Amino acid sequence: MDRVLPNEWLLQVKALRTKFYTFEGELDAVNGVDLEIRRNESVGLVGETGCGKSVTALSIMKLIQDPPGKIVSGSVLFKGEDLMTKGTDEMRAIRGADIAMIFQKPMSSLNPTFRIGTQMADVISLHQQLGKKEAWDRAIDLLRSVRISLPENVVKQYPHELSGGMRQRVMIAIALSSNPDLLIADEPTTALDATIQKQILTLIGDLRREFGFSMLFISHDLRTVYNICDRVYVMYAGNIVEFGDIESVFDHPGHPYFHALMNSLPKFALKNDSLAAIPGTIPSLLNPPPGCRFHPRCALALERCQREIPLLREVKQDHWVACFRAM
Amino acid sequence: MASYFRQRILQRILQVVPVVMLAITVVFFISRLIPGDPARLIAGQFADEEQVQQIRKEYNLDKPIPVQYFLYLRDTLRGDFGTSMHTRRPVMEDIKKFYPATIELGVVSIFLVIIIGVPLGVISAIKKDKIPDHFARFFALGGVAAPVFWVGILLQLLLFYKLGLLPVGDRLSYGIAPPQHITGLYIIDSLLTRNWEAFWNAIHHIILPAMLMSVSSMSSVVRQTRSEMLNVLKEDYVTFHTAYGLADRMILYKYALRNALTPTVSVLGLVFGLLLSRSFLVEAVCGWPGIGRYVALAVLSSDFPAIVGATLIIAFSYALINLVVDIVYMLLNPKVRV
Amino acid sequence: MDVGEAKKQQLRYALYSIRKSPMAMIGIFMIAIVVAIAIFAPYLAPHPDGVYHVNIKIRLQAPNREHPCGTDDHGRDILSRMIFGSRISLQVALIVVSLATLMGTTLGLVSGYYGGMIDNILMRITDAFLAFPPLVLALCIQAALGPSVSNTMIALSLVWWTWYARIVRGQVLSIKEELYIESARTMGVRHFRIMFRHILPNCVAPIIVQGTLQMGYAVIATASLGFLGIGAQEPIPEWGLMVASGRSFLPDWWWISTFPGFAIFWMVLGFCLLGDATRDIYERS
Repeated sequence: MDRVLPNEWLLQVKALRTKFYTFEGELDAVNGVDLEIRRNESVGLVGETGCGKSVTALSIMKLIQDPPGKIVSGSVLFKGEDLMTKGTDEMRAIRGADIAMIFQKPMSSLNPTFRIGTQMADVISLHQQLGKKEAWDRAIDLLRSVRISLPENVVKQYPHELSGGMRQRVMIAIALSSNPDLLIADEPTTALDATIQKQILTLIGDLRREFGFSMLFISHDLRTVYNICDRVYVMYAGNIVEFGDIESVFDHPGHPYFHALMNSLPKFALKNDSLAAIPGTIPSLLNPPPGCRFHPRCALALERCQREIPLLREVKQDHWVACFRAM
Repeated sequence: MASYFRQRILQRILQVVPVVMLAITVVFFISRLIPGDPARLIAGQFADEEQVQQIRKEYNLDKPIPVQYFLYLRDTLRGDFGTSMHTRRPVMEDIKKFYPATIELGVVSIFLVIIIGVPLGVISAIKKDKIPDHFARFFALGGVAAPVFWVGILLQLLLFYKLGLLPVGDRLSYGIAPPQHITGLYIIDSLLTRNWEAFWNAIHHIILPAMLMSVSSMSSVVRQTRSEMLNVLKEDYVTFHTAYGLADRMILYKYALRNALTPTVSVLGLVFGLLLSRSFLVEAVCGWPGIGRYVALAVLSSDFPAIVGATLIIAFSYALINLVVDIVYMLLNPKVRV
Repeated sequence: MDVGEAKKQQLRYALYSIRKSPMAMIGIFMIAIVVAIAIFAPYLAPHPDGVYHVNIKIRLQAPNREHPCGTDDHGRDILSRMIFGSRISLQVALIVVSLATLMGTTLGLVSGYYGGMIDNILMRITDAFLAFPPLVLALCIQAALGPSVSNTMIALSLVWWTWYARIVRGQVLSIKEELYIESARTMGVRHFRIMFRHILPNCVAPIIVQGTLQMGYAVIATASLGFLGIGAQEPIPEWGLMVASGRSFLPDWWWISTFPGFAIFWMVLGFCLLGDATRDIYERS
């Protein structure tokens, strides 16, 4: 899978739809998402909790548990090949080797009854066909590269003996162990304190420069995303409502939702506009409103918004908005 | 080991004492529940008045109840349970003779319960609500519901009478001498002394009763493993293992199982208890010369010293087993360890 | 939503879950059959007088059209005995579970509510009872009382009330805490009434789960004691006793032990399926 592609797209997600079948009904978690990432690019995926960001990431890696969830339709082209057509064994070879994911809660992501070294070595020897001793040595090297001191000791410890920041570094080390092309980071710093957050983000930035992987950075923290991403996708209730170059999107948000969101953050507040919380709540994904899912809370809603779902259109150079009233 | 931890273990050990004392007391009260003259019951209906008086004196039945209790307590703690009516030997001697057989049966049965029960629970959890799940749960439930003695008879009909595959009765075939006594457990003793004839013969004899015991006691292990596994499979680290491409088998049997097994250990105490009480029936049906059969025979002849003695020994063993299980659980629990 | 409404909805959901669970429905079906057989025994048994009447001429007959399950060594029709035996098993189970529930609930309530010395004593007693593996203590008591069905019922009730006492006491304690925190100034009478209105509804579910399972255990225990020869005595058609009496006739006259054992299996399995399913539902909520 090392072909160099003409159009340099690493990941192309097209019309991805993921549903959850629950006791209460069908949940439309991901409702037709298109997403593209180039080589060596850092892309942000933002939105409120519950808008479907994590589900999108899990869907890309085909980690959705069936039941109760199911990737209903769509394609995920990774280096030109559709992951949706790949079997379990092929996916297993890709996971952790070509695409790696780090999660929000490093404590619960690591197995509490096994040593760090064991967990790392199993992944390393799987993807790089190394023996046990070599795998453990490589693990120690990796821990060093994520700036953990005394890695020879850490490797023998259990997860609960490490601090949150250290655990996240371990996760990053595991993620980069096979030099992946794409790193998916699902809220990697949300569960950490502010100072540690900065450290981890700096680390990720440095590692990106060193290893040259692309990154899909999922977060609800707009400030962080602005600092480390080149492009951004905004999600609302299962749909991408706006995306494009980060400067353009953040400085001139086109979608009323994102515009309102920007206003509610002090740093990004547009001049002369007061801080205003968006009235209403996120729609239930069991019974989403017809047409544009944001229309019940939208100050600019038209009659048309209740009937038709607006498609993404390019309102500026590399800046797309899904709204009939794009600002 | 932290001193707090040591304290907790000590506490747990000390808990055994009052429970044992209470058990002894309860048995005392029960043995005095008998309507009618206990001395006559022990002596039997053909004894004359003089013999009954003798018995009364011998068993202190002519003294007031508090004194009786005290004497009974003293004797029990010394291990003196009196003489068995149906074997005419001191009860303690009988117990020493027959207990190893039950222990051996119990150990083999627990082994089988774990070897069969845990994988069944795991399969149940993985294929939740599908056919293998229903089958495994039905099998486990069926094991509990089917009366042990009935299944024993059916197995005997099939494997002994019809097919002649397995023997019935006793621990070794007639003509084979028991191995040199080291532990009293024939399988281990014959292994240690390289007595292969006795070894295979002993195994041959233990299969039927052990199968019987284990199938009928498996249900709680299957259920517990299943529910713990289900909890573990929902944990984030399982997603993590999958996200890094680890094979399903490794995830389940290496990573998930260790987390699921620890709470399952706590169920083992109950399983032992079940095995102990099943021993009466299984040993009676299979003719296995253990404490269970001893009690079954004693009960038929109203042999109270034997019943009391055996019951107390069983209660003590149960308390001891629970103690060990609890301590093992405390040791395994990673949160307590460090 | 007040407590009553919430409980009603919980009940509705529980019944719905039971209907959805195949195991529960099969269990109910199996139990219903046994109950029907017990009720209509005289009409269903092919030889109702053959239950006790000895007829040497037809002894040890293999299963045939006249006697679908064969006859035993006294010439009694085994199927008819099985059918009438269902009455015994069912009666014992019902009485034992009712008595145990009654005793256990009362003692648990008293113990939890009054606390102090009474509570302590009671807890020590239940500990002592639970220190014995199941059946061992019941066996002891039965041996002391003498062999009969009624003594079996007494023995089992005396041992099993402890389960219910613990469950109820647990509920009482947890409610007591809530109440004391909330209403320190309330009068004693008010407390008492409120506790009853809150405790008992909470106890109903676990008691039903335990009770269903114990019905099954009661049948097995009765049969086990009957098998060992210290429960029901001849000529009562108790299933365990019937299995035991057939032992000396193995293997040639295998039907004497086989069929009654199957009846025990059927009945206990029914209760276990239902009990297990209800336990799952209860634990999930």
